[in-house]
Parts: sequence; structure tokens; C-alpha cells
Amino acid sequence: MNPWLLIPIFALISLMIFRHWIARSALSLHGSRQLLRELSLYGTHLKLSAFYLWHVGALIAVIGFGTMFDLRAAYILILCIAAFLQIPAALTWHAMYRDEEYRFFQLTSFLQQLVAVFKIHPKIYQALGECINQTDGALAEDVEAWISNLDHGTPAQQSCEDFLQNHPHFIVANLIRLMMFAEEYGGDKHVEGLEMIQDDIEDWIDDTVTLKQNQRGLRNRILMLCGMAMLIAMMSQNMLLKTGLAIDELFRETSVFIFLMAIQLTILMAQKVIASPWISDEEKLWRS
Amino acid sequence: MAILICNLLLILISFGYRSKIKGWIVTHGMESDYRTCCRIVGETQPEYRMAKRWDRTVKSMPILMLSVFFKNQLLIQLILVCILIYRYESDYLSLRAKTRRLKSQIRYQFPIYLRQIQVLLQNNTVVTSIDLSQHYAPSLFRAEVAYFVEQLRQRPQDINPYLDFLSFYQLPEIARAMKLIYRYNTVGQADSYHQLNRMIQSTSKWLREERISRKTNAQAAYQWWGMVPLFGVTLLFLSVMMNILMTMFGKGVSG
Repeated sequence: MNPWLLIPIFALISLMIFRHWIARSALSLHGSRQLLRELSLYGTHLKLSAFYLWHVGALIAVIGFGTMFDLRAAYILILCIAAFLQIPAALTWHAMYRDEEYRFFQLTSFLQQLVAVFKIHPKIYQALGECINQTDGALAEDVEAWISNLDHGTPAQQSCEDFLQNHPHFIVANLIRLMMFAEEYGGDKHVEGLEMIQDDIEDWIDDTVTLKQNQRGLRNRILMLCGMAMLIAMMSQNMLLKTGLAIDELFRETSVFIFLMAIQLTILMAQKVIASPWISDEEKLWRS
Repeated sequence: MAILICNLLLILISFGYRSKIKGWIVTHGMESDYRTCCRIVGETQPEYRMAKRWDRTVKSMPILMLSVFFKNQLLIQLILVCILIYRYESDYLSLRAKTRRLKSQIRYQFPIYLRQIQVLLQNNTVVTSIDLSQHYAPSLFRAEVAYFVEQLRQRPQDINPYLDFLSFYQLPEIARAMKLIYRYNTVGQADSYHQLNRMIQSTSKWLREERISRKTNAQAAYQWWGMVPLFGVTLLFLSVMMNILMTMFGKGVSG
């Protein structure tokens, strides 16, 4: 089979499967800008030059490996296109990871602070007022909206509705409900409840951080395996070629090409491992 | 010929005595956990579902006649019988798969719900706490919570509503938690404090275990990606070696 024939076939399949990433790839300037805007929404501010530098780096790596494996230009070109499509996806997942991490730690430290302040002054309004300085971004807006609702005399139950809608974790709901009961009924019965919620928050942070560390470890292990596999492939190929035995060149190049494609896909999936959300959907509250 | 006659007889009997066989299957052919599975997935009429299962299988029976058109009739007959058995069993298998999924979901959602009750218990009685928890109960068992609340209003001191709550899931953790809540409701003030603390501790442990096991399972799927480079390099080496050997032998034979 003529390897040049693979290019249009590959292009068509890519267009169908990766149309979302193609629209945001470096192949289009408008798409690149759109991607950078999306990344900035996740708090990752990347310059257009840095974005293209990533592509140049990927191109150098692919061409370097392609040349080392003695691949023909058609295959190297396909691998370059694949790398171009992977970069927007990998950058987006990385930005999502950073954003989720930031939001997770911000929310948990806000909750810890809220519990600590509420233990001393069991009034929601005062506790929120004291803790708002610890927040920024979307969380600060949500807390401000909550305080503003209380300022306007909205009943306590309804004042936190928007906050719960945006942060529907069960620990958040438990804390809010306990604070409301404490404020309504008074007494010191709520203190042990607050201790329990504090323990829950600490467990939540511990478990999530440990799991995220495991995920990062897994990603690094996969990347290391990719590197080792490429090294072994290169060594074994050089060894076989040096024996001087006759080999079907097209078959060898196609095998190496498929192998490199698999490695590229594995590197992409390794990046996706860490893109899973920090706040699990299964722990989010079910609202009636 | 014998296979053809057997198949014809089988199909005629199946269609002729369709309702009688169906009645027998519904009464005696139901798997031991079929009703429980139906209860969990919310299927209210297991008998109707069983009947439909049989009807679907009977409708597919004429495919047995296909075996006569093949050379190796016995083998084809065996394959077709297996297809029919699978057609009959597929409903049960999918029911079991769904049940397993729901059970695993409830193992995670129940301790979260229990935690909400424990928070409400700080300022309320058991019955009021469960009543208040209705609005935040998982959709998976919200109807059961509503029924439980209704039962508690009628007989607040009775243990049976507690034991019956989600009992069809047959999960010992839920039964234990419900017994603890009942005990908390009935024992004296000093002892109840001790009971609540024990319950809180066990729920914390349960919640963490479920959280970790869920995440680990989700991560396990990605671990297989680590095998791709290893398999890749092995296959690459083998294929190139094979190609060299083929080229060598090919030349030898033709030369």
C-alpha cells in the first residue's frame, strides 16, 4: 500500500473524531485564540507565542524521533498532525486540573475557616463576613451574594440557595444546615456537629490529595514506560538493521509508525488521568 | 433430517403450548434473586417481565431451522441453541448488572445520607431528622425515605420500619446503621450520646473506604494504558523479526 494514501484517510478520520480539537489547534489562528480564551477561563494565561512554542517543541520531538527511526516523510507528517491535535487537548486538561485544584483548596480552606469562626461566634452573617477575605474569584462572588441576600432580609434557608447550587457538595450542605439550626435554636449542641464536619473536611482533603498524588504517580509511570519503550524499540531496531539481514522496509516503517502512534495516544491518555475532577460528582448533593 | 424434525417439533410445541409453558416458567423458572433484582431496579411486575422474556425467546425459535442449510448441522444447531439460551438469559443478566450498579451506587450514597441525618440529629429527634432529610435524600431512594417517614409517624417506637428500610438491597452496612439509629431513638440520654458517637465514627470510616475504593477503581482503568508501550515494543520487535524470517525463508524457497 502506498503510504501517501494514509494521509487523506488519516485526515478524514481525524476531522471526524477530533473536530473539537482541530477547531482549537494551531492549524487555525482564530482557533488558537479561542483556545487561549478558554484556557484563561480556567485561570491559565498562556501567550500565543508560548502556545506556538509548544507546537514547535512537539514538531522537533516528532521529527527527531521520526528521523531516528528512519521513517519516510509521509509517516512523519501524519505523526506531526497527530501531535498538533494533541497539544490543545493536553493543555486544556492541564488547565482544568490546575483550576480544579485551586477551587478545591479554596473551598476547603473557606469551609475550615467558616467552621472555626462559627465555633466562636455562632452567627452566619458574622462568620461569612470574616471569611470572605479568604476567598476570591467565583467563590468570593457566591459568598458575597449570600451576604447580600442576608442583608436584604431574605430568610436564611433561601439566602444560601445559590451558594448551594454552585457548591453542591454534601459537606457544604451539612455545614450550612447545622449553622442554621445552631443560629435558630442556640445552645452548644452544634459544637460536636461542627467537630464532625471539620473531621469530614479533613478526611475529604486527605483522601483527595492522596488520590491525586496517586494519579500523578500513575501519569509519570506511564510517561516513563513510553520513554523506555521507545528506547528499547530504537535499540532493537538498530540491532536488527546492523545484522545486514534483508527486511521489507515498508513493513518495518509501518510497524514503527503504528508503534509511535500508540505511544502518542498513550501520552495523551496519561495526561487525561489527572484531568478527573477534584470534587467528585458522586459526592454532590441531590437536590429535590 | 432428525435435527429438522426435532426442531420442528420443538417450535410447534413452544407455539402450541405457549401460554402453558409461560405459566410454568413464570411459576417455577424464575431465578432465586429475580424478584429482589426487580425490586431494586424498580420493576413492579416481575411475573410480567418473565413472561415477556419467554415470549421474546419463543419468537426467536424459528432461527433453529437455519441449521438445515449448513453442512455441519450439529455444530450450527449447538450455536443456535446457545443464541436462544442467551436471548432468554440476557434479560436476567442485564437485570443483575443494573442491580450491581445500583448497589454500588447506594453503598456510596447511603453513608452520605446517613451523615446528613447525623448532622440533623444534633438539634432534632430521630423522627424529625429523618423527616427533614427527605428533601436532600438521594433520588435513588427518596421514595423509600418518604415511605419510611410515613411508617415512623404511625409507629415511632417500632423497630420494623427501621429494619425494613432499604432491606431489599440486602446490604449489612445499611441494616447495622438503621439498628444504631433505632437504638439511638430508644435508649436513654446518656447512652444515646455514646451510640451517636459510635455511629459517627463508623460512618466516617465507611465513607472514606467507599471514596477511596471508587477513586481507585476509576484509576485502575487507566493503569492498562501503561501496558500499551510495553505491548507495542514487543509487537514491534516480533513483527520485524517475523518479517526478516519470512524474507529469508521466502528467498530460500523461491531460490
